[in-house]
Amino acid sequence: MKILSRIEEFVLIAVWRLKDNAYVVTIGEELKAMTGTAWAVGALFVTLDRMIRKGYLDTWISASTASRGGRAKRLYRLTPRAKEALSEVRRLQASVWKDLPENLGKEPA
Amino acid sequence: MRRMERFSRPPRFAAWMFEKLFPGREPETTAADLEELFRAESETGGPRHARRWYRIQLLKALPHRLAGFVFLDIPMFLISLKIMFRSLRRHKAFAVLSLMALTLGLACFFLIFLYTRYESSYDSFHPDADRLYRLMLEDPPGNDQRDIPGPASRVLENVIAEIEETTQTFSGFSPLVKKGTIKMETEGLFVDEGFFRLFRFPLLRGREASMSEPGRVILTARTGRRLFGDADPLGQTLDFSIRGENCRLTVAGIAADPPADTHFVFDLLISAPTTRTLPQYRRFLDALKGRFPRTYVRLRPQASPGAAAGKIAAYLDPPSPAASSGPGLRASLQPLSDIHLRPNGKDDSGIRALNLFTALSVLVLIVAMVNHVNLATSRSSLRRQEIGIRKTVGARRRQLIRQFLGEAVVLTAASFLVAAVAFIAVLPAFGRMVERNFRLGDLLGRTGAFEILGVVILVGLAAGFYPAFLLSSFRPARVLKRSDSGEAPSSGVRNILVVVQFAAAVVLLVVALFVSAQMRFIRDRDPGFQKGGVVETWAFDRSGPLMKQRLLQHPEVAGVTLSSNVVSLSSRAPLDERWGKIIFRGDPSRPPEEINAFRLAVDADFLSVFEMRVVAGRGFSETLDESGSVIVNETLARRLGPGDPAGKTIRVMEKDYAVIGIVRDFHFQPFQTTIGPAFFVHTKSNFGILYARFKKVPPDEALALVQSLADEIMPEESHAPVFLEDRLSALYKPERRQAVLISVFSTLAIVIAGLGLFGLAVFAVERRTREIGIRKILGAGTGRLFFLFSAGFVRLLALALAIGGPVAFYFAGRWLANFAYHVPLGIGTFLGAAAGMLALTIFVSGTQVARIAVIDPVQTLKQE
Repeated sequence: MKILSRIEEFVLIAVWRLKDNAYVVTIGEELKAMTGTAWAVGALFVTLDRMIRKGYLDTWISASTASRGGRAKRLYRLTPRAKEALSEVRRLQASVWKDLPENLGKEPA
Repeated sequence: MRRMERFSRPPRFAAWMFEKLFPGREPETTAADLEELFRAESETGGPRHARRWYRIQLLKALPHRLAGFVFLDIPMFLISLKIMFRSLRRHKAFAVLSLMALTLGLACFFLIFLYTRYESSYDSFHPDADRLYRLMLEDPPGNDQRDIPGPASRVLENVIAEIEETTQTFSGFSPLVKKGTIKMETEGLFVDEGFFRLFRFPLLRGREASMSEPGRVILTARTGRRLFGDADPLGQTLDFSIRGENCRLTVAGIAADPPADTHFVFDLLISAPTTRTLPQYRRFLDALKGRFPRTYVRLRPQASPGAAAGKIAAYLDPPSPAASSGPGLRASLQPLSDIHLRPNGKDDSGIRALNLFTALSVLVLIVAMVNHVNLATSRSSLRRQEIGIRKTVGARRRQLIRQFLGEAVVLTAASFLVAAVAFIAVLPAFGRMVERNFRLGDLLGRTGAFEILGVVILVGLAAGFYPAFLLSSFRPARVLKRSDSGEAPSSGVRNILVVVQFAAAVVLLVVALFVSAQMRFIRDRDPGFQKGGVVETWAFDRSGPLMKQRLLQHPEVAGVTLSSNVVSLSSRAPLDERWGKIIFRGDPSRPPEEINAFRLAVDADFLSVFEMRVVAGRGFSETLDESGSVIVNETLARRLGPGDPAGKTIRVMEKDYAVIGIVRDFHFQPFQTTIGPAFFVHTKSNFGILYARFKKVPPDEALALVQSLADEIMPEESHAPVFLEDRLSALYKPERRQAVLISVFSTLAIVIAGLGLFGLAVFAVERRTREIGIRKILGAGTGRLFFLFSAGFVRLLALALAIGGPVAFYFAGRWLANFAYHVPLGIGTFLGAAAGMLALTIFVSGTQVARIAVIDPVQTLKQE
């Protein structure tokens, strides 16, 4: 399996955290909370569309909501494949970082 | 209310663009998502901010989409690429011409783009640079300068909540530093400890805290090596002299050499308390009432600079209850990154010059893009069959568009690679011209690869847009039947583009001609005094008269004179009372008139050394008592009213002077400024400047002679002899730089226009080869054919001249308007440019016609 890119990884985690309410606005907020920087809306659109094409995300249109002037949301959900990929990233991360000290600046004594 | 409503919605065009950008998403959800985000932004930052945010989001989305827009799937992309290279190979001439033009355009554009970035991001390496400001104080005109507490900065830090930290620096006026036998002039800055807390100038050795003790100095690594060689400078002493005062400093630290992109210039940092041991310098600071030190502040996060500045002004100059007190002190905070481009906080000329360069480079790039469009459409007839067949076998228009756009982008990318090489090659020369010693990394560090890529793709798309739509619109049935072969479609559009290209070249050429004429004017105009062969140097009372006497003993010296000030100022600002004020009572019934004028106190030889013409009366005499005499220039004479000015009395600094002569007007300020009133008084002391006029002597020898004499007579003063002519010419450096860039750019625009013309002529002639053959058989002479083909291009050129001429005159006029004295905006220059362009057009188109016209028509007609 191809390893997820960092951006893809973050987006997937954000979608997973949001459960049933993952759409562009909430995903953007979640990413901001996670990484501390605001993501461009266009970048989100492009990334989400790509993740669908790659089979990491399912998407459907919600029932219309009153809060959005009666307009629908495009919601997202992880596919099993995405969950697998995320676990893989986590496993890799742990194994790659295994021997490194907490503070990379100081050599271990 | 309606206004509110308008602002509470996202900008309509941007919303529409978003929808178009993401066609794969259903428009309703996209719009709803964006609107929700927009409302959130609107709540936190207000509607204005939200609309701005929305537009920025749109801009940020563009590059993300662009990559996918041109090529969506890889296999198709590879096929397109193959077709693309075949097509480029088949039309080599086209590819090469287009590539050359785009290369020039892109190289120009990126050079200026990166340079502009570099210039506008000075001092951005300090931590929290966006919160650093310089305090600027300004008294309203007519008000006396108010005292500002000397160590104002510390106080401000405590009383104004917005300010986190402050520091002050004072210029050291190029102090002279001596260590043993090594003596050097340096750039010195008095700083306190806070300097290191605000700015990132790391110390390699020593402590920052030493700047709170008197008599301490921190050297830059470079200066340390120059003064001490390989020895350890720490703890050593050196002799320091500033404005004639001496003291001894102990080296307390070594700072890393400051980077080039900072507005601070220093070889040594002297601890601020040292000024207490320099009474003269102290007095000088006091005389300026605290205006002289530069105060820098770091605001707290999120603090508003405007509010802080208001509080500073109110604190330093509390509004008095009396309503008549008039406007108070004005304070403003100038962002640190802004200081490099606007050193005195007001003069925008640096920024204007950058804008001018940017505009010029964009113009050259546009000419290159237009060139591509022209060439691509003009050869469209050659590709019609290919397009016809591809459409017949099932190519969709979309795919063709994508392919042609792709071709343009690939061509642009290739041009970019060539341009990058050109860029690296010309960078050193460019750096010398703009006097920046930057390396490639300095420029690239400030621009993301993403931005560069974005520009390349955008240029490619813009250049390929029209040809792609035109070529893909061909109807296969008609094209393949060749029912309308011959003249390519849309020659109207192409003609417009040729005119645009020519017009841009005309504008640049005409402006360049006027600018270089003005530069010649500056060089050659008689300033009203003899500037050739004159050496200018500082010389004060202790050294001046002795130096004069010694210099006159040299046979090469034609004359020497001493004066209080330089004969020609660097300042372009209108005269104010700083330079001298006259009180004059012409009509006893009216109150006396105050005139700001340029005052020069000189010895008796001044007018003769400078060969200034006395138009009435007489000059100063060596033998008479001249202490009550004054010589005025023509402008001042006119201000003194009608009648013979000789014998009139003017009052200068509480003393009456009788006018004894009038001297012809001379340029004591740069040509940007109108000549104002000036007057000479005679003096035997208070000298500041010495002028020595040399007969024919090699320049180096003259300077060396003055320098060695000065060192011998007054070793602790710093003298910096220069040729007056060199100093004056340096005043116009920015203009000269602009002149060079404008002429380079106009040359490039003409070269590109010439390339385009060449391409068009080649294709026009190729398309009409058979026509030429038939015409020859029917008896047309070579001259006639020549005329026939050139006439079309000449007509386009005439149109371009008609459009470009007025535009050029407008811009040239605006540029020349900076100068009070400039060359006339004559039509002759324009006619010259027109003649040059005409010659180019006829030559380029003529050679192509000639190529075909000399061939035996039998050959050309047999070709089918």
